[in-house]
Amino acid sequence: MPAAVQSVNPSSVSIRHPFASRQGQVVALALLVLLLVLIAAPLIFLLRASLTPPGELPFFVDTYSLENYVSVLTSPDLLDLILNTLKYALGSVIFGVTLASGIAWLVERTDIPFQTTIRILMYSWMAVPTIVLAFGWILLANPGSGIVNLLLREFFNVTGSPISIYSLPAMTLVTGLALVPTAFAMIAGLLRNMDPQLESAGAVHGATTFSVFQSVTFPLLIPGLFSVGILLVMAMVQAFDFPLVLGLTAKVHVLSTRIYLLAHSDISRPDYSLPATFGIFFLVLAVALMFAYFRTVRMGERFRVVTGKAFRPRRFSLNGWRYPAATVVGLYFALMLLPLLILLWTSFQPFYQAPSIHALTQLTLANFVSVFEESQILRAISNTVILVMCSATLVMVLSVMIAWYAVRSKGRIGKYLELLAFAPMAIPPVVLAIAVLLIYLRTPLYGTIWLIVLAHVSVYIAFGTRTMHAALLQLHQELENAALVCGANWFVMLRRIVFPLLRPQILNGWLWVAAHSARDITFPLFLITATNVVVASELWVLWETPEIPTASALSMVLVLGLLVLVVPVQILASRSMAREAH
Amino acid sequence: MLTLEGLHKTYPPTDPSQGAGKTAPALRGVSITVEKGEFYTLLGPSGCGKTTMLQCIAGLETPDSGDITMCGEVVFSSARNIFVPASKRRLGMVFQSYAIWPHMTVFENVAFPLRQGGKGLSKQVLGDRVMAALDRVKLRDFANRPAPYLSGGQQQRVALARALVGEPRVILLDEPLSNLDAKLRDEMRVELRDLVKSLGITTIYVTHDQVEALSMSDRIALMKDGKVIQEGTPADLYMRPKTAFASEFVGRSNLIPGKVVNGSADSDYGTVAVQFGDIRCRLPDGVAVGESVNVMVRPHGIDVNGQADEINRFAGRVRGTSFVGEFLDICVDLKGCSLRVYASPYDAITTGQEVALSFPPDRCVVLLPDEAAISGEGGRYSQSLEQPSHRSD
Ligand SMILES: Nc1ncnc2c1ncn2[C@@H]1O[C@H](COP(=O)(O)OP(=O)(O)O)[C@@H](O)[C@H]1O
Ligand SMILES: [Mg+2]
Repeated sequence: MPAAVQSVNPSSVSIRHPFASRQGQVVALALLVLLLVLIAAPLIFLLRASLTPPGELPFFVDTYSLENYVSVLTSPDLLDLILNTLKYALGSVIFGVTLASGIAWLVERTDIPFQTTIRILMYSWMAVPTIVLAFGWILLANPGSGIVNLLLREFFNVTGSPISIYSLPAMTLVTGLALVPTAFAMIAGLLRNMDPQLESAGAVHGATTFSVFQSVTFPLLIPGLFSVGILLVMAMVQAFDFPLVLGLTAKVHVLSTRIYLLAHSDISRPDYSLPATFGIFFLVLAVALMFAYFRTVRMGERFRVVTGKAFRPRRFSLNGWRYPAATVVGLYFALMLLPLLILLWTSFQPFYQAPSIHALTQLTLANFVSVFEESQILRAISNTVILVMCSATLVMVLSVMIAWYAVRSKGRIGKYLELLAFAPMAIPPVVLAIAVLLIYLRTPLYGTIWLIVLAHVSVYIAFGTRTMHAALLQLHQELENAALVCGANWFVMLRRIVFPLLRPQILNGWLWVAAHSARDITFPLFLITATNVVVASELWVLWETPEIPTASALSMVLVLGLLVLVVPVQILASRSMAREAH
Repeated sequence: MLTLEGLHKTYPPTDPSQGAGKTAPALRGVSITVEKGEFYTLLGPSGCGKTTMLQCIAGLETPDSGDITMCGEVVFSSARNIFVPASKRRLGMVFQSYAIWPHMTVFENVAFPLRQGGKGLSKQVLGDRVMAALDRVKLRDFANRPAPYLSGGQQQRVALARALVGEPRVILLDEPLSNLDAKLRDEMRVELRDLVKSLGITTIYVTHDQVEALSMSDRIALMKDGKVIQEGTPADLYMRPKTAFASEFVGRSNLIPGKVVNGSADSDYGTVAVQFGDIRCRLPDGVAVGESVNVMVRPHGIDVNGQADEINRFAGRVRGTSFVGEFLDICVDLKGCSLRVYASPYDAITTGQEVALSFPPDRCVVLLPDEAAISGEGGRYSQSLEQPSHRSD
């Protein structure tokens, strides 16, 4: 461990605790103000906007009106919207979590082959943006020219379009599939943290393998699975990308897409007060889910067994089922790869067509050439690089500091900081996007990439703070105190002790934020202008034009870029995990 | 009752990239026999294979080779390809972390063994037996308490009740006291032994703590690096250790290097020449004149300023004292050889004083060099000053 002994000028030596020091307090206050500006201010604007008369912007009137609320509550499809949103979220989560639990159990608790490979694939999956997947599924299963339909027509002699991606069930299904890697990561964690002695105790006292599973393993996992489920439902209620790309054509609207449509009306001048009101309703729903989440988490805490050991789990022997089980998991990955493969194919075609011998003769690099030549696309790429680097770095730096105050300071400011930083979990991105739009519409920030950076920092700080909070709890405070006693000030202590020791977690968090910042289309679309376009929003523009081959080529470039960023780190991480398991 | 014969176990490497054959064997040919109703302890430092052995008995691990017989029934045999699964061995077990199921009440935890295997007990009988088991561990009033709301000591009792309730053939305990605080540990030591003894259940007890082992067991198997080094009653192990390792792991000892100068054909006794003189003591079989050996004496075994006509009497100077209360811990220099001696606290002994030390011949144990070499040479005395290092695993 690097010693934090600094050669300090004796007159500046201060071993007072950082909370007592002026420096520490100033930093804490600065963080608090920053979070208020980033998170609380937009929400206040949102509320204000919902109370303005329809068609007005909140800055220009000083009248209040409940008209928007009346029109939302009396709109005939409000109930449908909420039902659709819940059906979509619940359906995809139930499907995704079930599948992920199965795979997680196989990987963590059985002797299935290729464990490390499966893990790496799962953890690397965040490199594949949802919007790209959605494009792929459209090419595969749209009712007109979708390959699946072509094949069915050709080989099974069916007519019409037996399969369509444009429906609520199909949308739910592909969302569920895409959710598996996230759910896998969480559930594998649950399984790893369970004391295997609890299961051994069942076996020794007369229970068969099946009844151990039924009466010990499964009931113990329930609270954890439940809270994973609610967390994901919360995320899926807020989801915007699949509902936008698939749902608009399907005419299946959920709350997030409705708000988008209201704010981006083609026919009339955009009216932000009605979407803001929808946003308020949406916010209420999300906050309710958040409380449900906290309740189950607290329930789960009760079940946690207090042992601080690293467990060597006993693995269930699959015997003859090892390879069949691996094949099933392989099939899942194959299914996930199909959309990417069809995009890869299309990216080498002059126009979209199903694979055939004839089409093979038309392979071309023209799409990639245009990706790297069109100035609009080049700008999108350079903007994306700025966006990803800046938002990930800012989020992690702020998160470490906020989490540090939350964990180490016993005072109030730490609590407020943490609460504020966690709030974005319950704020649907579309709602925050509308709010950010309202605040910054008339400022010079509007139309620059920096506004998107700012929005992403506000959204992802919740994730960053949570991971850093967990990591800091593991770090013994005496390590930090030792540095302070040696004469380091607060910043030096953070830089020389906390950052280096938490490097693996920080790196992982950085990657997560980077990948999600690159794939997000919510903020880029809500805030889009000619100058702040990023790859994700450019993809949508190209797709809508439609310039499908160019969109495919750009998708491939994006996925490849993210893979290069994500995969090496995941390989290193799973290696070191295997070593630690010893 | 319970016999293990030639058990070998090597764990597969955890990191597949390391390749096979890199892990050291956890058990190398262990054989023990436990009598019915006996309190049998596996004692040894952390990592010596005690848990592995217990898990092999329980059926939670599969040995690579060997046989395990329980009440005449072969439950494991590598040669005959027999493996009775854990759930069919009719055992009770207390785990190191207690493994109390947090989603059940105390009652449900204890009832679990009775509900397995289609025993078909009526509700009434089941309830009676569970309450009787809870009575035995003094937890009757806690029956309906959810398991997470228990203190460490209470969890330990629940684990014990659960292990006993099914009237197991053998009960296995893996360091059950190591998670308790010191005072509770002393109480539970007595309580636990009395309980299993009163029920007459055969008990296998795992610990790395010599005090627990000595005070609770009928017999002890001292283990090191996957082997049983010595087996015997607590008194055997303490008074007649066969190796330097045994002498130092169980209690404190002085090891004095020397050479055998003469033996006699008609008696077991002989003389060993050490740095400060000749010690007359009992020689083990097969020791030859001229051989290098260690003479082991416990700090308690040395008489300070005893009668002048005692044999093996030497004069030395006190280099340091430490008043412990029950005894006076003194360090005596005998012609350059320093010894640890426990004197009576009522003797007024001060640093710098001359004292006469005598070594009663039947308290001196001669350890053969090759055995002594197991635990390594050098710094012997300074090592024996410390407690055997009790790392918890
Ligand atoms: N599941 C396992 N996988 C690999 N190695 C193990 C496993 N369990 C124990 N070992 C190794 O076997 C040896 C004996 O371990 P153990 O029986 O737990 O010792 P003890 O209980 O005496 O402390 C140790 O070196 C330990 O690292
Ligand atoms: Mg152990």
